[in-house]
Amino acid sequence: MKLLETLESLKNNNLQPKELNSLINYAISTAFSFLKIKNSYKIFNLTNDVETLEDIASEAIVQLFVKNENGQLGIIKSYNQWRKPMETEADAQFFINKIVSSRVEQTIPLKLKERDPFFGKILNTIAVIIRKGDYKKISYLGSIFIVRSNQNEFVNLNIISAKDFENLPIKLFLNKQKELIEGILSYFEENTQYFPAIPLNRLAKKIKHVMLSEYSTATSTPQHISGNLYVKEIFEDCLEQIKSTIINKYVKTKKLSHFEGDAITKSFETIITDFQNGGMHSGLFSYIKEQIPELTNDDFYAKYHGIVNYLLKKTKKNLLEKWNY
Amino acid sequence: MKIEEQDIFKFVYNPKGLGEDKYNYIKSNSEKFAKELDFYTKLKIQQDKPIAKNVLDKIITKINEYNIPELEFLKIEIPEDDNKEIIHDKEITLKPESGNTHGKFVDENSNFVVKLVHRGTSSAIYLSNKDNTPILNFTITINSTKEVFTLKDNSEPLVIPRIIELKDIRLSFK
Repeated sequence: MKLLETLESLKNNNLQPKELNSLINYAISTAFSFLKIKNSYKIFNLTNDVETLEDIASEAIVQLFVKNENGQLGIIKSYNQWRKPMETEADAQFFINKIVSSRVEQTIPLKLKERDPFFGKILNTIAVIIRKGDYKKISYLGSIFIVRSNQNEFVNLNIISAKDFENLPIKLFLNKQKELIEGILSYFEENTQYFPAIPLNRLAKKIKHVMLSEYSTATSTPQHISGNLYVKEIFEDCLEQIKSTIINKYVKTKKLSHFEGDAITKSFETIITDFQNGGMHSGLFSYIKEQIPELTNDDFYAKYHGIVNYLLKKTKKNLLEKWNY
Repeated sequence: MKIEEQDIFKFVYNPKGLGEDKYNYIKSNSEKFAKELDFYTKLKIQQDKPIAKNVLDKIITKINEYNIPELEFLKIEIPEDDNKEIIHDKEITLKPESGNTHGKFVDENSNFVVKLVHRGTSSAIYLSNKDNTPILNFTITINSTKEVFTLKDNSEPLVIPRIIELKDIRLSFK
C-alpha cells in the first residue's frame, strides 16, 4: 500500500474505504508486531482470559481511528503534530510505526491499571513528577523512557537492559517525588555507563514490587509505612471491610447464602493477594468459579456479577485511599 | 555523522528513502548500531507475516463495536484479502430480476446488484456486489437515454431527480 498517498487523502478528507481498510490493516499489523517482538505483554502478564494480543492491539490503535470532539480523527491529529519530514514513503512508514508503537506502549499500562489499582496510582504519580520536574518522555525503539528535558534525540543509546534495571539498588526506588527520578538518573550518570534514561513502565512495575511485595512486612524500613499503617495492614483492613460488607449487606439480608458469601470472601482474599503480586490474573468470573466450580458464565452474570463488581470497585477505592504514594 | 532512529528505520524498511551517505555510514558501522538494526529487522520480519483473516476480522469487528457516544466513530469494513485481485469485466449489463422496470437488477453472474428505488419524484440507484465490498471508480449508463454518470464509489446512491423506468442498466469500470 502507498502510505504517503493514503495519509494525504486522509488529511484532505478524501480517503476511500479501501484505503482506510488498508491503513487499519497496516496499523494492526504494526501493533501486533510490536507486541510480539517486545514481549512486554508477557512481562506484565497481560495475556490470559481477560485480554488477548488481539484485544491489546485493537485497543492500542482504535483511538487513532476515532474522531475527537472537534471531528478530527486521532491519526490526523498525530499527523498534524508530526514535526519530522513527511515527503517519502519511508517517512510515512516511520510515522505510522512511531505512533502505533507509542499507542501500544500506552495501552499496556492502561490495561494494567484496570486490574492493578496500585500500578495506576504509581503511574499517575510519576506523570506528575515528570510534568513538574525538569524531565520529559521520549519514545525509543518502541519503548517510553524518562530523560532530562534537555536531552535531544539521537541513536545508539546505551540503554539499561531489563535484567540490569531489575538489579538496581532497592534504595533508589524508595525515594519519592523528584528524588525518585533524579536519584535514578544521577545513579546512571555517576555509577554506570548507561545512558540516563528510565524505562517508564518498568519503573512503575519495580516501584510496585518494592513497595508492596518483598518489603511489605519489613519493620526496618519505615519508608514502607503508609500513613499510620503498614502495607500488610492496609490489605488486612480492606479484607475485613469486604467480609463485613458481604455479611451485613448480602448474607444477613438473604441476598446471598452463607456458602455464596464464603465463596465470594475467599475470591477476594485471592484478588487482594494478586493485587500485591502483579494484579488480577483473570476476570471476576474466573475468581468466583475457582470457589464454585459448577458456576456457569450465565449464572455468574445473573447472580453475582453486580455484587462482586461493586465489591471490587469498593476494594480498589479503599486500598488507594489508605495507600499514600 | 548524525544518525537518528528514523535513519535506522529507513535503512531496514526502505533504503531508497535514505540518502546514500547515511546508508553507507550505517552499513559500514553496523556493529555500532547493532541493537537498533536488530530491533527494526525483527519488527519488519514480524510485520511481513500475514495476520490470519479470522484474527483480523475479530479485531476490526471489535473496533467497529466501540461505542463512544460523544465521539463519532468512523465505520470501517472488513477488508478483502489483499492478495485477491478483483478483476471486473470492463462492461457489465444488469437486467431486472423480476421483469419489472424498477426494483432489483442483477448481472449474468450475480456478482452485482442494482436497486432502482422510486422516491416521490426522484429515483435512487443503489449498487452493491455479492461480497459487500466497496466498488470504486465506475460509471452507470442508462441505456434508454444514453445518460452516463461517473461515481468514485458506491457509498451513496445515485439520485436522479425524476422517475425513471429501465429495461437494463450498464456498469463500466475504468
